[in-house]
Amino acid sequence: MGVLVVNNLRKTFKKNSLLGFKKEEKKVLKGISFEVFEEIFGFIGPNGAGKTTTIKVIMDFVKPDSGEILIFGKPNSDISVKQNLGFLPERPYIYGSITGEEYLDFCADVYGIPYYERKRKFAELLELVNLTGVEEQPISSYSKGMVQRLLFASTLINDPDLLILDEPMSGLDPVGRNIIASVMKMLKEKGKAVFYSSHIIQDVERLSDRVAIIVDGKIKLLDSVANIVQEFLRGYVITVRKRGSSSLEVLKVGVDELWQLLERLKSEGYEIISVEPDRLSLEEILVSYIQENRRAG
Amino acid sequence: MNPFPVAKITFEELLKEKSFIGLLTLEVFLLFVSKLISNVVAGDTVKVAMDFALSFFFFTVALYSVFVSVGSTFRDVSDRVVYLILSKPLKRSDYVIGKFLGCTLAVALFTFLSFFIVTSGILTISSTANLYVPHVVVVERVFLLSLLVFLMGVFLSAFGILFAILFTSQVLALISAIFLFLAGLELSPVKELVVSSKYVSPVNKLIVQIAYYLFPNFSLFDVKDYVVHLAIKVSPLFFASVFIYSLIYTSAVLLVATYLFDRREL
Repeated sequence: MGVLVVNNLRKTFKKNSLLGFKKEEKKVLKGISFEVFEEIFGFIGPNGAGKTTTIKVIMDFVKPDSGEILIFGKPNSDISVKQNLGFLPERPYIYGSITGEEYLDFCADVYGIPYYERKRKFAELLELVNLTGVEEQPISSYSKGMVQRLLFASTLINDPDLLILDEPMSGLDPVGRNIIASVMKMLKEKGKAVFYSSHIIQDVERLSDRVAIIVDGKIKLLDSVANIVQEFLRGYVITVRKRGSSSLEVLKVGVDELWQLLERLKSEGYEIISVEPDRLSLEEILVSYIQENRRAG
Repeated sequence: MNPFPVAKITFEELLKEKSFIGLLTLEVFLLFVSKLISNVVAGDTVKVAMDFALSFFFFTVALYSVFVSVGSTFRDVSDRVVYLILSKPLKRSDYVIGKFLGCTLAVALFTFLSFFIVTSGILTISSTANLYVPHVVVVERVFLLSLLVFLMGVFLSAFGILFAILFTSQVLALISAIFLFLAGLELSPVKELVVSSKYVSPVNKLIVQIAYYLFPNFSLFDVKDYVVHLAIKVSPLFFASVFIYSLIYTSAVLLVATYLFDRREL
């Protein structure tokens, strides 16, 4: 069984119409199911697809209409599961008047971390996200990226086995994104599970073991990045050079014709410079699902 | 149940808020205003100055309690701080009670500092006057008033948290809490007027009497006259009953706030 199990999740938001007579209903989640193991699991989709709602339901901030969520085999409403869980919301915010250390102290208070361990623990976490030396400054003096990194570090204070991150890379510069990405990889190597949503597809493609694409409240695709890449392989791009010539030629070939063409090129006296897969990127796949959904809807 | 981490961080946040120092500075300024008013009004200048100073004290603590409780709770929800807090092994009731305890600590410190400001001001005003004022008695009575004002602040904080949870607009929550306070102050005179009137029907009298006992009665905390007029005596039983009243009512308000917050979609 996975660390996080989401089974047939449905959620409808009711909104009062202008005069309050008739309630408008919007189905946001239409039977979402997936399982997260000890891996990096990317959750992608366009704006309004239901990513944040799914995360809110998982975190028990919002109650679903139906469906089941299990974290470490227990229902998500069981408060004890949060003892071993880290969470970072989208565009996180914390009081600007307190210092970074005071916020970390709050987290340590919640998890009952003894005072004598705190200094070492805080130093480790701050070093991890490149924030050493700023802990005594008020958070209002931090940049947006620094706040995000501080709050990300704070999610690790209890050494969680499952990390749930809603758009952890948004608003970060490339250095900040790299820091978060390397920590996520490090956590995976330690056998932890990371479930995160993102709209920065290149990061998802680079980081994730498995990916779920959600469009209009439904999971359209759920597979490993390697399988998706294989499935959406259109062919290969071959760069060759005729022996004795200095100019390069680029050829495109279908998946099944690769070996045949390579043999022929060899026999005709061509030197093979490179063979690269011609595939759809995760971004192109996502866009194709969105367009398909628009056409259907 | 573990509300203390939330209480601690709320207290730390509120102490560093500009409103804390701002309202204390306003109180010092209002003491000067009280002295100036007492100079232009006929009567015992010390008593008039005391009356104004204590009224300003009473209303400043009330305003502070409403602003911090509504503001802090509302901001937590609208700025999504509540997500960071509730993603940890804390129940929603821990959050509500912790928020309340944090506000209570801030109100306690505010009232305590206000007590020093107001007492120092009153003693300074009385020492410059030619009238004899028994300082020990005045300080003791201002202290008793401060205790009641603190209880009122705690009571108002509970309502502030309830309204911040109940309403989706911060302005509406603030206005409701301030109106509740002002209405609760005028409850006793209205009840006396209605009950003693021969033009009001018995049914209406009964409705007003029921409303009187159900509605929070903030006039109970207003014992300014006891401080200003030294001849007035108040039984210790009165203070005990006000304490029990605010304890029961505050608990009930917090219970409702917790119930509503538990069911709220964040």
